[in-house]
Amino acid sequence: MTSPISAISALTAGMPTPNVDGTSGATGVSMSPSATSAVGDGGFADILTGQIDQLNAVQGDVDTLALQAATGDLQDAHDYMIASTEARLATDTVVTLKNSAVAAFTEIMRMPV
Amino acid sequence: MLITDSTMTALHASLTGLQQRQRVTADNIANVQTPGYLAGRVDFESALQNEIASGETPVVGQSATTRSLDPTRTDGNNVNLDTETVIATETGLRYQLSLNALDGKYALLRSALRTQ
Amino acid sequence: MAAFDTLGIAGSSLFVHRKWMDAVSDNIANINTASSTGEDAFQERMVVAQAVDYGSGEGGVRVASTELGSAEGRLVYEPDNALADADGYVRYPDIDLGDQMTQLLMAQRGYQANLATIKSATEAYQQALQLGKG
Repeated sequence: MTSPISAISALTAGMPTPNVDGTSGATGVSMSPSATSAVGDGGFADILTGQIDQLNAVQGDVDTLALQAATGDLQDAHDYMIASTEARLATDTVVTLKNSAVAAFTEIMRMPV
Repeated sequence: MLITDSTMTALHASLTGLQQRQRVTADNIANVQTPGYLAGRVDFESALQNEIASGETPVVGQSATTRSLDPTRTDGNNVNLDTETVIATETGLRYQLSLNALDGKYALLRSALRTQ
Repeated sequence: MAAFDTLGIAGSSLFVHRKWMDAVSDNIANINTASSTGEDAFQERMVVAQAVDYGSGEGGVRVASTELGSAEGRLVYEPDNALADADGYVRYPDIDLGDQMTQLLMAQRGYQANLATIKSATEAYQQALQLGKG
């Protein structure tokens, strides 16, 4: 079974883009599976995975600074406070993105076919 | 960068530079009676301004500490206690200003995340 | 910790200034200590300050040594003094009260300046520790 995130990117790739006045120009757009292979670069899944990788790096920085604070090697107190606040906000951001993605997927799966 | 923009990095750089200035000014005040001691001066603003003007992301931790060439007293010491006190007060206030600015940026991000 | 070393720098100076004030008060207390011409006069106590790790901007100050002033003193003609020698001279310390009072004021001013440094540095650090909360 495909993961929810890659499934969403497949669906968004195939979905018709609306016109400027709001009406959807849906003619001639097919939601074929072959459309999903072109999503490899820049789809929502890749964005989210990239964010998670960066988040791991930020949390690693916080751990390093926390160890420095514990051993007394920390150069400036605000370095640790900035890193920990960034890590907290970044975690909130990624979790919010993930929740939105899962909610959108569940919404789409609920659609009667 | 995940949530950090160049403004936040510039504020971080200013905090580190101001902290270095606070250390050097404390050293000057501590050595107001030491013979042969020349006052230290910290400059991080020029590097920071150049980076902002040229559009690069500022680098944290760039500050130059030089010895002041003000005229010395007879014991070779050139620390002026009034000057150092004013520098220390100003540095403390600017440090708190940068902290508030950074806090403001975080509050914006937080409120953006909360309106979901 | 390097993060809060401004407190240590100012603290080292508090110690040196207090040693200075101790030396000055010792001098003032003994300004009229007479001694016979056969002995040394009370020698002025002086504290030599030296920068710790000069040039790094992060050292502070320490007492390098304590020096003693001249042992000659000044000879004063006081034949009634119990310690007077055959010619009636007594040795008094060569300490100038005005100079000592000036030093006392300078030491006090330096001490208070370092206390102010500690206070403002503590406020800045406490504010930094509140970063990102709330």
